[in-house]
Amino acid sequence: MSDDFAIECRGLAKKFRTYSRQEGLWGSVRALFRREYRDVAALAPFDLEVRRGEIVGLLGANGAGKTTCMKMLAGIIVPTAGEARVGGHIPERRENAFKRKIALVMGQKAQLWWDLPAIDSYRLLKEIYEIPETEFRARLDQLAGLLQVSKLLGIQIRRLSLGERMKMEIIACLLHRPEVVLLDEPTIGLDINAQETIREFFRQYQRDFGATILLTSHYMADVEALCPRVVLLVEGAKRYDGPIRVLADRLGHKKRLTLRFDREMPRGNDGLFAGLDPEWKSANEVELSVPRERLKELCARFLRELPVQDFQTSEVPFEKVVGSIMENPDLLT
Amino acid sequence: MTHVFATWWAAVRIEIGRLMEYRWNFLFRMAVVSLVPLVVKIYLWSAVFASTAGAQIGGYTGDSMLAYQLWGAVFILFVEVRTTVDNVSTDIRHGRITRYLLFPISMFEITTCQYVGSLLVQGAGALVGVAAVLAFTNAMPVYPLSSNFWIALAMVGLASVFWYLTHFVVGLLAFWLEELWTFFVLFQVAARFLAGNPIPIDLFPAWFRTASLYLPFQWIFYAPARLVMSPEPMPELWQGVPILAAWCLAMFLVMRFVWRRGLKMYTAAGI
Repeated sequence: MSDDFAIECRGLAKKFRTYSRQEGLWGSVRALFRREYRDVAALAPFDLEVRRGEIVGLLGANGAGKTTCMKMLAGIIVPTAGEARVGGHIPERRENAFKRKIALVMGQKAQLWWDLPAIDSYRLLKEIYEIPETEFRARLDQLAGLLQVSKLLGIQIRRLSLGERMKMEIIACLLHRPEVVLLDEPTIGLDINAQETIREFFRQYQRDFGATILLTSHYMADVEALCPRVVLLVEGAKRYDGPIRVLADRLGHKKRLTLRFDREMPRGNDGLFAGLDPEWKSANEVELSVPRERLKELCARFLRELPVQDFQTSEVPFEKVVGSIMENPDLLT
Repeated sequence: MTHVFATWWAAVRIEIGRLMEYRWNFLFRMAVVSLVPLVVKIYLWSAVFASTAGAQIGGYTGDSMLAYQLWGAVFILFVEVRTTVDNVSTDIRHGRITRYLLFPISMFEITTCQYVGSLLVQGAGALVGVAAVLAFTNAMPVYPLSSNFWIALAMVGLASVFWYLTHFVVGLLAFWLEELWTFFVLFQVAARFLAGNPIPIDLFPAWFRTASLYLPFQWIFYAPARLVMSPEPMPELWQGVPILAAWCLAMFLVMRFVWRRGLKMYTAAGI
């Protein structure tokens, strides 16, 4: 494995053993004596190379294996097969030198002490990561300033809003200035402003410290804003690895056309929009997916035949592109 | 090495701070922990012997039984510390131990420091209770200049370590078992009985006394209580120190083995 890469995986795979039981009371009684176990492949043999300082987005539907992959790269769980190297270390060995190089930010999981103000937890982290006092103060001031939470450091974590808590979690994860940052849904549940603040923060963090970032997110805005490269997982298997624009272009050969009418339209007009995936936003507004080569012709036709008051064309959002792949992975082949 | 101690001390402080965060609960807990068990014992055993003035049970007078029960109750407070170790199993089940796996310090170290923090708080409460009883009654005879006293203290220290390690190991079983509440309850009931909590060990049959010599339990409650209230040396009970130390070592090794095996099974479910 090469030193050029901050993250490297070869045939990394994970299976979980689960059991299912029949529903209801009888199912519970039966499960006391007999359980049917089965192995579920959460991640099929997976290869990945991420260069130092690169930001990569890991995409996939729920259950695609993104978080499992993150957990293995962070050394939390042990792979069933294959090997990984992160920052030059094998994660599953959980060496302290490895832990000092990485951070795992989990949007849905609190790592700070719930009943204490964040500053108390940070003080403990300062000792755990052996950060000198002056350096600790400087880093904390910088991180808290960037995330606009300097005035909240003395308040119990449980009394903060979701967005404020998330920012405190991010500070906790970055105080030791990790080389590799694994971001698992860092903006989940946050409002638009908080999402934008956190995106901007990570963009700047990466610029300032050259950190390698692997990001999973359900918000395509996160991925589009931060990741020039994406890896797409479908049902535990890698289906795409490359520039985000190529993926968008490959499936984005359609344009979005929005028509606004000067009156409410009967839905019978759907025949006119056949094959264009009409999506009615209101009784007098519809969105269509139009092949690029037919855009001119169709615009002219709709303007001629329908009471169009206004129209607008735009690129199909990346979110929709990925949604289409999730629904139909064969689009990639 | 200095740095390791600084980290441990920071973890101890954070636990004390956590306990004090809810001040009314903290103050109430201190009062309950320090006084209620002692007051209950005084009223209960005074009532038992009041109706049979001058009578003895297995060689125990009313006063000596009361002293035994009071000292035992105090020592139990230094051993059965309510702390985060009780949450190890739920932390495993809900994937909350993940944070410890990411820190360059072991979960055992952090949890132990939290235990020490809780022990300091609970122990301070217990000492307040002892001071109150000593100030207003002569129900708790003590001979701090005798070797018995210091050996009893060493025994209580080791008993605390043993109790903590045992709870930690039972909590780790959550890697394999989904619900452990029954194990904890069974262990506590059995351990208290075998420790001589309700009935002193010397009132049991000879075979039971012989068997309990090699178990860790009587050294948690019975032996230190007897030692601390006796002005005469009781060398037959001093062997509890090496026996408990051996149990602590054994439990520590079991803990390391179970932890390593368990981590291979860990799925971090819930995150």
